[in-house]
Amino acid sequence: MMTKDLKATAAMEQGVNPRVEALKKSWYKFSRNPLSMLGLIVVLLVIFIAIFGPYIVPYPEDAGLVTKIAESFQGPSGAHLAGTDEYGRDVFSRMLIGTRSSLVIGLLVLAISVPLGVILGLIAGYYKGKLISRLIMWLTELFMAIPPLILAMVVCTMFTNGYLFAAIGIAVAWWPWYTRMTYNMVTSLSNELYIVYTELSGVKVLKILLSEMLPNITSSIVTKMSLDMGSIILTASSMSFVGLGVQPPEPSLGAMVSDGIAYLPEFWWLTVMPAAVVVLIVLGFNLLGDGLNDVLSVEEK
Amino acid sequence: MENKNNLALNIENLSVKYKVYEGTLEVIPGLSMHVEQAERVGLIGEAGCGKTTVLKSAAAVLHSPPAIVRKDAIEVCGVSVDGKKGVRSVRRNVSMIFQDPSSSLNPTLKISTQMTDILKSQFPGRKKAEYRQMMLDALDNVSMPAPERVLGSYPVQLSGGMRQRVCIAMALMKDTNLMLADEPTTALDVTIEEQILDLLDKLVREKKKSLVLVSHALGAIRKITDRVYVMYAGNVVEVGKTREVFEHPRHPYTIGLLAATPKLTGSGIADGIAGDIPSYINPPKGCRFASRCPRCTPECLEAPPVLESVDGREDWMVACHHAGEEAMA
Amino acid sequence: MRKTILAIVKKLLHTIVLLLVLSFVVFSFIRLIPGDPVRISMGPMTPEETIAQKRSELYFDRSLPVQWAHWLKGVVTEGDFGESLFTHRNVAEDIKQYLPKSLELVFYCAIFILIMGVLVGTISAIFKNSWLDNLIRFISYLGVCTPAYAIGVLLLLVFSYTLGIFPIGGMPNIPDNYVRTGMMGLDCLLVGDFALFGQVFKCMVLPVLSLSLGSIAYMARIHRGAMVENINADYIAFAQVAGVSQGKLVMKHLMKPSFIPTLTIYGLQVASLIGNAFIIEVIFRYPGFSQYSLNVIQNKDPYGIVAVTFVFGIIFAVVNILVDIGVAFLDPRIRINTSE
Repeated sequence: MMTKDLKATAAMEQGVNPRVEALKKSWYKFSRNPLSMLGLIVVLLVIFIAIFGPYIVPYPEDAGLVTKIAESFQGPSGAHLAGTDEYGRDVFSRMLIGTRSSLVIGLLVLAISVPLGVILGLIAGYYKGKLISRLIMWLTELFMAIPPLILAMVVCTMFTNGYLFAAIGIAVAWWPWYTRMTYNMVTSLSNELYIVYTELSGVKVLKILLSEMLPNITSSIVTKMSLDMGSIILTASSMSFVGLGVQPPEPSLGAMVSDGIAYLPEFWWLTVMPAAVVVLIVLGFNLLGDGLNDVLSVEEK
Repeated sequence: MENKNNLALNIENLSVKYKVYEGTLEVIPGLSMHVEQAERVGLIGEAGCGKTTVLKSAAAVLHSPPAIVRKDAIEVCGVSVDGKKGVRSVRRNVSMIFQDPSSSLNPTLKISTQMTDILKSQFPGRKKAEYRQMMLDALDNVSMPAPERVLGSYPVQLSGGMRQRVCIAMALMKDTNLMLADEPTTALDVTIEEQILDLLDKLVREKKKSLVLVSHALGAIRKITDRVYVMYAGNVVEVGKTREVFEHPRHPYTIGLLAATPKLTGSGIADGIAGDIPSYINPPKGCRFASRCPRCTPECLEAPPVLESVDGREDWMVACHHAGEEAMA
Repeated sequence: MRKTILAIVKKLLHTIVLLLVLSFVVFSFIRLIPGDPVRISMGPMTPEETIAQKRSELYFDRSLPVQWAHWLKGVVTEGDFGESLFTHRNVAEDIKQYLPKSLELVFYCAIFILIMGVLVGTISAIFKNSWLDNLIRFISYLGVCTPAYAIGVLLLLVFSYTLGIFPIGGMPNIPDNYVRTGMMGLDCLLVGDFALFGQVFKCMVLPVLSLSLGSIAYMARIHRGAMVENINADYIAFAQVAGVSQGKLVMKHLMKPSFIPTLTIYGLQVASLIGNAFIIEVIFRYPGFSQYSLNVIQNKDPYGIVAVTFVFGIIFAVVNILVDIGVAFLDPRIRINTSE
């Protein structure tokens, strides 16, 4: 820490913003790894589809319940890049819309579980040994005691089966991991001398947590978020595979694979195409996460 | 020097580099050293000057990549480290003791298991009882108390001094000419330090081995070694007979280094040398020590000094543009 | 050794308390469900009296703690998990019928994953940075990103539909008088009907493969990583210079410490297999506990859900404790009391 500070001041004296410099360095490292770049491109593409999906989909009406019997079960072609399904709907269009909902569910889960998990982890870590800390960590353990997928499914079906509740269900199973990670990092940080000094000099608890602890754990959390995005999308697609989450006729990638199994092997594109898209999305987020991990963890050394 | 095959270790113009984001780290730009049979050589210099790198290169255990090593620069008992065969035969002829005994023993295996595995490859096909006797002898050799108990222990159950004794015993199980000791006492208590170094000295003398000893304990270096190499920022700056170098150091760095050790006589703790080792990335064009040197002149900033004989002697060399100006120190 | 046993006993007690609280939480959760589960299961045409009677039978007309205590007493004294509103049997019977089948599936997967994951990871680490290593890393990276159902579909397409080597799903009928443990393959072996075992085995190949491949990929990555990291350890360099033979160095001195992180991850993977198995059970129409859980959950069957979460909790805990024992066995630093 000390040397880092010294370096930062030295850089400042030379008229260079150390943060910008560090970012540039990280970007250089990141961009030199072609796999990380591939991940970034896939993720950007997914985000692009999520935002502009409705405008670029070739057959927007196919998202819903339409039947074009004349066009059913066509193989991949120029008109239908990924073929058509039993109702004659364009699989490519449905995949794009499914991609969009995957991303939205993923973001929803992170938006719920990360703030919740990190705040609880900060509190539990800072008050380690106190009752509140034990209570929080006990709760964490409770939610980790059964398989996350089962927990998510229970929560999801209990209320209204749909989009939002699938996200809530997964988030309920996901936050404990963030709590545990934050807890571990905060407890080890608490022993660092500079934190002890800050404490001794009478700085308020909230300020220590937010301005001293949080910045130090942000990079790990961001990395975990990118890696988790992949796992969350996998989980959500597994749930939609058995009919939990996004409800038909709205397309979701998992449900498309599941529906397509009945038409194997002749109409293979109904299953293979959406499954490949899931793999691609998850691959993108994992590559991005690993790339960030490499850059940020080396940075810490 | 004429008969190179007779040298226990011969390093000629070794270079070790690392490629990192900022550029290339020239950790060892071009280093030469040699060790004769049954000779004890010291290697001193402050932390981070590349001593461990040199030893690890010589034992062929430096990981490359990331390190880029000019391997044909190193010869152990006349065999080059270059190539797979070379690496194997070099490892056969070298023993090495590492800095930290707690990390140089496998935490998950019993001492007896670790020792047996060495013996099995050195003396294959013996009986279990024979191996056991050999292990007990080896531990006895390093004056280990309660060797039976030690054999049945895991490293965590031993103290630091005991672990280092075990390491020495293990290193001596192999019949080699060359022993490399990389700060064998840095991780130990001062009281244990002397015991371990005395033990090492005794064993090396008894078995007529060559020794390269890296240590911050300059007193021990003086006591144990015949010749000494002084390193600074990857370069040898001075080499000569230990007694002579310690009594009349010529290089300003050596003078500072020796002055930095507390002496019993005189004014307690001495000054040390101000400043830090320069960056290995884009190292200074001239002498690497120039920024900290009291004798620094424009010449020093321009060209790096090379090792030159002192007073026309083959066995005492200094790399300094101002080596003769002893009076200035 | 005493240290380990004490730690395990402590953990066991901790787990029991945790599971009790968990079951209570699930009960209260079920009460939160909008609508009356009894009404939902019996249909809108059932007269109100019948519903009321059923509600009282199932303790739904009592307070939450009373219902929970009644359930707990049944579980502890008679192994009675309450009546399922979905199968209309005692949940204990359902568990007895379905759980062994899932356990058998997961057991085969667990063995397969351990052997293959470690083997592939070791090969990858030994030939670090060679084309073989790169290929393995590429495939395992892809494997980690691929959902189990996608692997299942791909295997079905290749091995069942195209090559016709394995059946597309379902299991052979096991005669009632065969049933000993409830595990299909094991029962056939116990009875000595090897022909039927062969059929069962053939039906299980694809489900086991689909369920394992992702975990194998992950395990291989972890094991390779651990080995590659430990290669840089001082004790490996020391053993190398001290003269340990190359084979022993890799297979023993490097392998044993590398197993510690691998085993921890292995435990997590096996535990997650049990949760993920339902997709595979659905695809291959395998009559297992995971599929039963899915049905119970989707039908909002109160006692079914409590039992399912409880059983999963027990399995998770058992796997965790086994992993702890395994790690203690590998790592003397955990096993031995040191003054440090």
